[in-house]
Amino acid sequence: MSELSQSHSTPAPLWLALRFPRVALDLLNKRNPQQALVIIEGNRIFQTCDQAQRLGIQSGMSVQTALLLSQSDDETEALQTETSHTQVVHIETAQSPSSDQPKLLMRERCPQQEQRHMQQLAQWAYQFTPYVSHWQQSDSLLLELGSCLALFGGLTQLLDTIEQQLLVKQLHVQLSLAHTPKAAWLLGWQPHLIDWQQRWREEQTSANSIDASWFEQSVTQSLNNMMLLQLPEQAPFTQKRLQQWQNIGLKRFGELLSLPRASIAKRYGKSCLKQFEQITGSEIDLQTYISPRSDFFAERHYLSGLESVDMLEQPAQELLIEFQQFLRHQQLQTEGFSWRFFHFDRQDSRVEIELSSAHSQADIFFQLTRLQLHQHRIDSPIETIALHSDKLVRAKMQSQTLFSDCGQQSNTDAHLLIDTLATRLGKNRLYRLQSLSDHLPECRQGVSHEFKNTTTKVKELGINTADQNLPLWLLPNPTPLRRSQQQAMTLLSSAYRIDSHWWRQRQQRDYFLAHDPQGHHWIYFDHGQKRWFLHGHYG
Amino acid sequence: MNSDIEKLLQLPNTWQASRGPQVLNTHSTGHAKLDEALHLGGWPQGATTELLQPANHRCELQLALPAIKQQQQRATWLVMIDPPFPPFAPALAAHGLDLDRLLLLYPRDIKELLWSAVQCLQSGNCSSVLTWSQRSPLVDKDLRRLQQAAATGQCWHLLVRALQTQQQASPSALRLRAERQLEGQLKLNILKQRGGWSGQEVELAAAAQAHAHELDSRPVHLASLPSHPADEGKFIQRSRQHAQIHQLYPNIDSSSVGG
Repeated sequence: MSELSQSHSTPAPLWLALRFPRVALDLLNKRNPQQALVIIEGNRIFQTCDQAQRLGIQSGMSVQTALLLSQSDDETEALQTETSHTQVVHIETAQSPSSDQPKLLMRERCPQQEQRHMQQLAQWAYQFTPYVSHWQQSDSLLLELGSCLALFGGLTQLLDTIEQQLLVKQLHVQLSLAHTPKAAWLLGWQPHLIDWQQRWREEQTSANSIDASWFEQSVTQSLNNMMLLQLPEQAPFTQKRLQQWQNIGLKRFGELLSLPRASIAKRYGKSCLKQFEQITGSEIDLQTYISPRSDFFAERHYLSGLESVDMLEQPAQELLIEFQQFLRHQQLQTEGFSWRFFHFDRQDSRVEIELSSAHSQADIFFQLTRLQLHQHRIDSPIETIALHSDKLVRAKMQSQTLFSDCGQQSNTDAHLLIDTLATRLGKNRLYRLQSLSDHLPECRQGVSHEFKNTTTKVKELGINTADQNLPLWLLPNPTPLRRSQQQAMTLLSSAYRIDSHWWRQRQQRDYFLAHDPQGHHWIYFDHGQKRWFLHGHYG
Repeated sequence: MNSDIEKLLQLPNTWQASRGPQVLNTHSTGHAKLDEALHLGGWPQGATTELLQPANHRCELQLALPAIKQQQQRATWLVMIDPPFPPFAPALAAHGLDLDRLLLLYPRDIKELLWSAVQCLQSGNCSSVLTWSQRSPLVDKDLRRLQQAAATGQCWHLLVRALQTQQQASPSALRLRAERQLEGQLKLNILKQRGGWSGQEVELAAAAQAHAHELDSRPVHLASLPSHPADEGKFIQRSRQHAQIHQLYPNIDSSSVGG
């Protein structure tokens, strides 16, 4: 009985907290990695990079102080900058006279960009587990991994994959594990407490669940050792509360937990007690999980701007690979996507690419993008590239023959040819004919710009003997015959009369096969206008 | 062991992948006289065939239609690039072409024409490509590129050019000159053949035969048949005089009324 319940029991909860302390900085790509970059909010420095910290700039300083610090270096002599310190412009640089590169780059903080980036990261994390949630409105993600270990072949594998992909994205991240989400997040702020997790992780190579009880014990121990003063200013505990606890002599979290429950509830409120219980795992902490988006959006920001089409190719390729991974994970295919370029002068331009068949191959996307970009003109430097696609459909698997009967080089898809031609020539210069049913010859054919339902199967085609006497070429507008031309024509057949379209404009025509030294033609006599017209050629 | 395998391979119902589909170097033109005159016995696959014709003569489709029809199931597309007039869909369908496979391209200038022709030829998805470049001149380098692309994709390329380019040297595998005779026959002159003699002349019968549409009965309310276009002057004169009568009594033959 106990074995049965064990095999059917839910796996032990294992939460991974990913905290991105420098999301605002990591968004922006610098051309020169040696440059110092700071993010400012209002008149204060919000975040600094390593190079800026080496110059002595800290977050919380005012902008003027930071500028002074960046300028007062051993290399600088006389200040000959023209930057005004009275107003903060969108990008302000402090030039050092010895080099021509700006020493310090400043950038306004954009919370919407950060939020979008966090949402993109949440969608990226969806490939590992369906249980992804944001930590309130900040820069952290919480992933529940306990139920996904079997798929990835063990905790070690899974965490290695996650770390590898984050490395490729060049993001600063702090990972921490615990058995509840809040505990995982809190532990991430004091990394020295979770040194043991690195060693423990490497031992977890089995595909099944982890040793839950030992893990819980170790996490509880680390929690107990957490210093209250070093808790972050964000939730769950306010600064005032932390100060209160310090005043009564509590230093570690464990001491707080050892207080009797009833008195915590009475003194600090029921919500505080609830927080404790959620942290330790006595009570369930319900998270709102994200749902996968039905469209794809990704962007890249560049500080120094991209000026030419060649510089666009690298970021375009990276974004398309991301797109392909997204499509493959969700088992979708796309029928078109669009590029949006945002320039420094607040202009934006678009490039749309449509596909005649849905698929998910990044190299074909890149080929078509490059073709289209070469025709596109870039007027001013581009600050942000964004890739967006909402034409997503369920993936359809197509079967192909194993041995093709065509020539040896028919490895490109038939639709790729259409897409390439349509991208370069434009969709309206490329069409197929359709045979319609009507009496008037010019109404008997239509054009179709759609190529979505081409079949390559062998078809049985019937030969229509009545239509074999029709000309192979039809003039779009019948041309009236001149007197000299009329003299040269000899009629070869008797009349074929068409009298139709009485509901619009009655057309009474007698068609003849005529012959002149240049070949055979199809002419008609229009009774309404009483003139001879030339309508088609044979051959 | 070896002999067992060999015995298996000798069986008629064993198929080896290494045998593969046979790559044909020619396919029949559909016109017996032309096949005899051509050295390869048909159109050269994987190479360009140039057809030089006067500006207002239309010879190419009559010539190429049998071959196109035969080859069309071989690959997905049949491409026509920049034809001078739009082809008439019911007529093509009546001759046996699959309209779903026919692709018409209209590039804007000579560069786009060359690029699209090269793309279609080398993709390997086209059974035949017909290009008209009568309006724009092609140089030797372009012709070589087209020939190379056709060889890569093993596709038949028919290039229609103006008669004036006869003097220009060209790397195409086959060059023909076509002209319509007085009675409507098609006279072909072989100007250049790769691997064979040139100078042959072939005459093909006219494509369009006269057909008689007998009218069973003439509907009463319709106007009478027009007279011959050469007599049109007389027709107009008469109709001005007798327009009123014509309208009141439409079934009266205009020629029977005096004039």
